[in-house]
Amino acid sequence: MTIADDRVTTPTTTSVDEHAARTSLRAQIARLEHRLTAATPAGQAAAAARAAPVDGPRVLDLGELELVRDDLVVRAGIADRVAADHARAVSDARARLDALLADPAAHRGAVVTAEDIGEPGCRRWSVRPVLGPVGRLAGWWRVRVSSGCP
Amino acid sequence: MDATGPVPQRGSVAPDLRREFGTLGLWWAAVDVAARAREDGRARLHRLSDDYRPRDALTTGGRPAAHDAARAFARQVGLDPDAAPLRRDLGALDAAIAGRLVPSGAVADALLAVAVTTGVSLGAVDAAAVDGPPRLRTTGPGETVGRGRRARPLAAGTIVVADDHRALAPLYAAPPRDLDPHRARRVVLWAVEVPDAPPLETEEAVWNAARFLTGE
Repeated sequence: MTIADDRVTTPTTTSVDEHAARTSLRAQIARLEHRLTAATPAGQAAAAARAAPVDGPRVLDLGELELVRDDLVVRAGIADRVAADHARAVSDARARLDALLADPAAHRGAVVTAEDIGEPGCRRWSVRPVLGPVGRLAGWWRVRVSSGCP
Repeated sequence: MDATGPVPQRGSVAPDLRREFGTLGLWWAAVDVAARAREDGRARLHRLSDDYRPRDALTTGGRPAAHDAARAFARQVGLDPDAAPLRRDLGALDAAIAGRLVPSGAVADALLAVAVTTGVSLGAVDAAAVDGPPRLRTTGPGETVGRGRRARPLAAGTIVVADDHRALAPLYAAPPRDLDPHRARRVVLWAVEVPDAPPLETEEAVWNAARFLTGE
């Protein structure tokens, strides 16, 4: 009597589905990584402070890929939050600069730097009294702009 | 191993990795290091340093597409390119501290110059320690990398570049010290072609590194 081995050797539906799911998760990971690299340097640094959820290099299973994906979602969130905070701080500094240029006397001693307004360089806008102590007593204030790095 | 000249060749990729990652590939070349490669390498890094801004290199605008693809692939296989930076980022971090690209030997300088200009991370080992063409595969149980007392165990399933008999280095990791190409006169170079990397870029990176080392 001959016993035929009719076991199916092609991948089962489950393994095909899992492979498709892993491929999809890897695509999500790639997109999140690109989003992270597009973040500001400060955002990237804040996000990089997290420890990686898995150890490699190896072929990750579905659960591990989900962990990596979820971790990247959190990292991208951190980077976005840092970027939003930075944008808000820059906007506030620009508003402060406009205000002190418009009315120096109301902003005595205030200082805004190029870094505060998100620009390169070492410029500083500072509200100083005209003629030193005389201006201080007389209430004469002006904005001094110092340019150039030391 | 056989002399193959500096023309890059395709290394084989284990079927399980090919099934999982599709277009994953490996390019390698065996090259004789020219006597003046060290001086050439120093001069090359010196020239590159003139226009090199580490801060720009670490931000999106300054990153080549091949580097971004490698970072994404590193994440997909469980590596953290922030905690263990790829060669290009490592070079940028060193340059940020030193104020220029730091030379550290003929082979290392060639790999750094290629990483800076193309974004492709290359590996290299002393050719005397390599048996057969390099290939990409995963490790079995009990495999190690390195020899003798310096042998380091590898977890089963680790993606490695290997020769006919043993693992040469885990993916994106530096090879062990006993395979160090620092003083080798002949070296084997490789680069992993990751999915989504620009076509031809990896092969060209290996070719460029080979050219730098042979002094052509």
